Amino acid sequence: MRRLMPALIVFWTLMATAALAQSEPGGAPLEDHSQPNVAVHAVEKKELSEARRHELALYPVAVQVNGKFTRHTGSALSYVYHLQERFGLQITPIFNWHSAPSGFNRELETKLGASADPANSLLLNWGIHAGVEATPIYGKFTFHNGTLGRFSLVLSGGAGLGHTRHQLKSEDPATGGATYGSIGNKFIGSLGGGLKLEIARRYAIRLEVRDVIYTARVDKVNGCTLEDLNGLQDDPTNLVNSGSCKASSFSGPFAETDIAIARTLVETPSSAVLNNLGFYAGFSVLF
Amino acid sequence: MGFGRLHFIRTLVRGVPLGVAVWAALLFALPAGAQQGALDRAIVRNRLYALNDKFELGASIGVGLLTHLVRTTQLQASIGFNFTETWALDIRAGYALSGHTGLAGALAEQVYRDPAVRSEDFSDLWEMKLNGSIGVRWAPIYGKFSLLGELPIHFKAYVWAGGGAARMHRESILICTTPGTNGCDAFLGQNRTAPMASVAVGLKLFTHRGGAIRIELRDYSFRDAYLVGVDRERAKAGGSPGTPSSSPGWTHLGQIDLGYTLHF
Repeated sequence: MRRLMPALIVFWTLMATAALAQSEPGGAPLEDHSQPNVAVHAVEKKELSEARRHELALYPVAVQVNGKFTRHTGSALSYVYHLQERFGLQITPIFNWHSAPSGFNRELETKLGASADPANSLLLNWGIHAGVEATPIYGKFTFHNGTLGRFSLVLSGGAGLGHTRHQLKSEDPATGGATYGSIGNKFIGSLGGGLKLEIARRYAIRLEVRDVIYTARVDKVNGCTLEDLNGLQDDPTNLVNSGSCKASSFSGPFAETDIAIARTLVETPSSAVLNNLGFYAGFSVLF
Repeated sequence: MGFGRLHFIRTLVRGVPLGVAVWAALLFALPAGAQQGALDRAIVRNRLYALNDKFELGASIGVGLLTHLVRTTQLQASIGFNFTETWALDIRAGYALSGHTGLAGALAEQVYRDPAVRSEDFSDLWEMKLNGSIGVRWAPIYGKFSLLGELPIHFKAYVWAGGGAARMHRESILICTTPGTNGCDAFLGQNRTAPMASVAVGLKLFTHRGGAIRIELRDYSFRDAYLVGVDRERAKAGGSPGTPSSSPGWTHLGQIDLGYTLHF
């Protein structure tokens, strides 16, 4: 998000510049025969007020677009209660049904024997965040001089909780799929922006970009500390849960490998702040 | 079941066919007469900023997105002609100030000091330099919005597709050709001119009849090329460093463009 801030500032500056350059005091006149193209004010009153209404949005596809070391694809649901016409409260759960290291990360491993810090390649399994949503800009457009549409610029922000995991054994045709270890729940923040395209009185298509920010510190895997993992490595057959360490989570044909990789991950604890920038495409209903 | 839930379900059931129909109409651009919405069509149809039969001259700066190993900042100029309100032809020329990212530098240093056998060079390391392209712009969407409820902004949204060629440079992060005392003095460098394809989506925000701010997301794609069967020791001794990969794949260079266009 820090990388995007200058771009956002430039974007809003440009918007303001364009607006000021186009501005006509008090809006365009209702009737001006010398300029037939400005016969009506730019934006008319909305057909259906959103104030004190509920909105449910389903995003079947939410795909990460800034995946340097990770790749996430999931689905999300969002509920918004519109306190006012342009401001509401929202809660958004998201579930990433695919979360794995990126192709770039795998190429680093296979070609150069290098990989990202565990904290930088932490995967977000699911998350839920609540906050606010604002629609400061409302407009309309025509498609090929025919179909008319209306849209709103949607901005959102919130905070919540998410569950993270890290890949242990890589996917391999000889040994099967990848294995993962839980790194635990982390606080997450969310900032987003996008377009809400109204397709009917109560229905809209939503195209948004949301940045889910989470702090990543990898010092436990499946709740097990380095000390726990040292003990498990000495006796991998004794997978007994103790305290926060869920040793039974390492069960399976690759338990020994998983424990060894988990030990490597926490041997030098790493931390980072991750930005999971995702493109969300979905539709919503107002009721 | 409470009244609220019943109301929601009724709304959902009643509205879905309408929503699907309107969205389909949007997709297939039904003529104006096919839809009787609450809005007055003339509001947007009568365009304040018409571009039909006008030339365009533009300048922009592009910043690379998803920079893993190569960073790119590109300066561009374009000239175009609008045949109709929606169709135009553009010719673009650019020069990219490109180079390795910090991550690429760190990896190169780390790999150089690692004596392990590495047989395949890394992909997506070509840096775009001087480039030119020609393409078609389709701008079917014209609209306007109100900033802060008062200031009207007119815009056009478009997609762009075309192709061209680019002069490119590549510096390996694996193959050192000139070893130094404290590291590698020079890695294997290659140059080539390659064809490329480009697609973009963008917005023009009109400032007045004669110009518009342009914001664009653009992708350049070109065939990658890197070496396999690498022998680093042989390369250091001046021998053949490896053989070209038979299936190198494609490199996508995404960038966000910000610029200004004059219409005349």
